[in-house]
Amino acid sequence: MIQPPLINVSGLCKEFRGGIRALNDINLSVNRGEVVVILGPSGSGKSTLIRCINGLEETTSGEIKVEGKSLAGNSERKWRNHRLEVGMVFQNYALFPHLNVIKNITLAPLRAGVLKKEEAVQEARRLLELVGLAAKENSPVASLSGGQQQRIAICRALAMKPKAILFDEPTSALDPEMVGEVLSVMRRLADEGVTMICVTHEMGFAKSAADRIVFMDKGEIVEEAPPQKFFSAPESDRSRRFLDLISSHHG
Amino acid sequence: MDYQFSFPYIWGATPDLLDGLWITLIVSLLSIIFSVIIGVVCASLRVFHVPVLSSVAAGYVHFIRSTPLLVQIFFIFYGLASLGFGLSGFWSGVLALSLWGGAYNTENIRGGLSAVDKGLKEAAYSLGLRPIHYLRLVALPIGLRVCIPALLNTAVSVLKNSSYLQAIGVAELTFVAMDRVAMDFRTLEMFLAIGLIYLVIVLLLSTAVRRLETFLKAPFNTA
Ligand SMILES: Nc1ncnc2c1ncn2[C@@H]1O[C@H](COP(=O)(O)OP(=O)(O)OP(=O)(O)O)[C@@H](O)[C@H]1O
Ligand SMILES: [Mg+2]
Repeated sequence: MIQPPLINVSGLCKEFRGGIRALNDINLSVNRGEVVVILGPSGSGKSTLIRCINGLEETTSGEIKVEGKSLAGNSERKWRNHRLEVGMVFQNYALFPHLNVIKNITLAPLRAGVLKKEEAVQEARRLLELVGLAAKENSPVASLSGGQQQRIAICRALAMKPKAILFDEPTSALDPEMVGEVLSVMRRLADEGVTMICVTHEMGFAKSAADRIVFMDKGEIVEEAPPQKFFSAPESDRSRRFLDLISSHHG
Repeated sequence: MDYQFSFPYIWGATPDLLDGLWITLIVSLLSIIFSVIIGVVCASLRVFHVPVLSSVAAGYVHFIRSTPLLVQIFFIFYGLASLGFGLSGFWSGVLALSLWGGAYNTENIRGGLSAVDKGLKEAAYSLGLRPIHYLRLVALPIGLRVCIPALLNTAVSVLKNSSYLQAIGVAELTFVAMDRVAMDFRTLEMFLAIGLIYLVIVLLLSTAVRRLETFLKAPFNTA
């Protein structure tokens, strides 16, 4: 039996009010355990795509399936169940500022009834250990650095035991010296076989951690290729121009 | 002009004033609590654009803010009685002040809720939280902290406006003072005395709320 892809996006279009077409006929399949990195210039629709996959944006047309189950119908409950299956990590962490570290992580699993109190705390501690922040369990989040907050945000997403995690530029808001600590956590998740879709401008991470690069421009997927191929011999002009631009920036 | 200001007179009036103060405190406390509850409910309806109810809440706020409080008090005390829903002066007063404060608190809390970072809502939804859980566990705890100063303002106004209830015979502080003035004509003593009492309770209330605010904001300020 052929397993369906974990996430399957077909014919996805997204038009914002005012007629801005952010996504145009997107087709994308992500298999279990795969790490997909989405690259593309600003305004190309990367955020919109993963926000659609997470159900934070209503789609205009097209279909998004997780494990073959379609999101058609769009009832509130379906959306919620859908969101339980894919976690999301935001650029600005979006931790709950009134809660301490461990409560940030256990809030959703407890509310959704995914875990019991004891289990939730145990699981949160295990995750904090994993990202090297076990000592910060009871700290208020405002007392943590950006890099630490983003690692907590990753724990918070993982605590829901999602089937895949979406990252939208998780290191863009960080001071340079903190980028590494977040990327190394992500690399570790990738190695452990967590399915990830990641929008990033970190080319080093894209090269070493991605199974596949998806290059977007003007709301379309222009090219999909394994990183070795994409970075050494991109097929389309647009990809080439993008890579030239990047390398002229970063030397 | 040989009015003799008499401290002993105030002293002698203390038991009566304390009775009035007690009623003022109870009416105010109940009204402040109810007004915050009304504010939380109506602001939530507004912020989440709940169909129909959101418009009802908006209309209610508009009505209260556009009519004099004294008219509202009379409407509830006399108006409802003529419809057969008569309430005692005390409960008419609590109802009127709660509705009045509730309208202002709706706007206060709406302001607080809209100051909550939109990203937190998305984060909560992306974690599969229901809107009601987002509201209860994230938006209100943060939004209410933000609008504590505005809530305090309204609470102080509710407390001061409880003096209007003398018009429907509730034996609160102002009523007691008026009562004694009618008997003894000691206007200066009585109004000075209750003025000072109001001042002291407002100061105490403000201090208590500021302490609470500092305490509640502690986790935000450790950066
Ligand atoms: N809420 C919105 N309303 C209207 N237009 C929007 C909205 N969000 C995004 N857009 C538009 O959709 C297009 C795609 O935006 P998107 O944020 O997905 O790009 P991006 O690839 O993530 O860019 P960046 O690298 O700058 O984050 C842009 O033209 C943007 O202006
Ligand atoms: Mg973006």
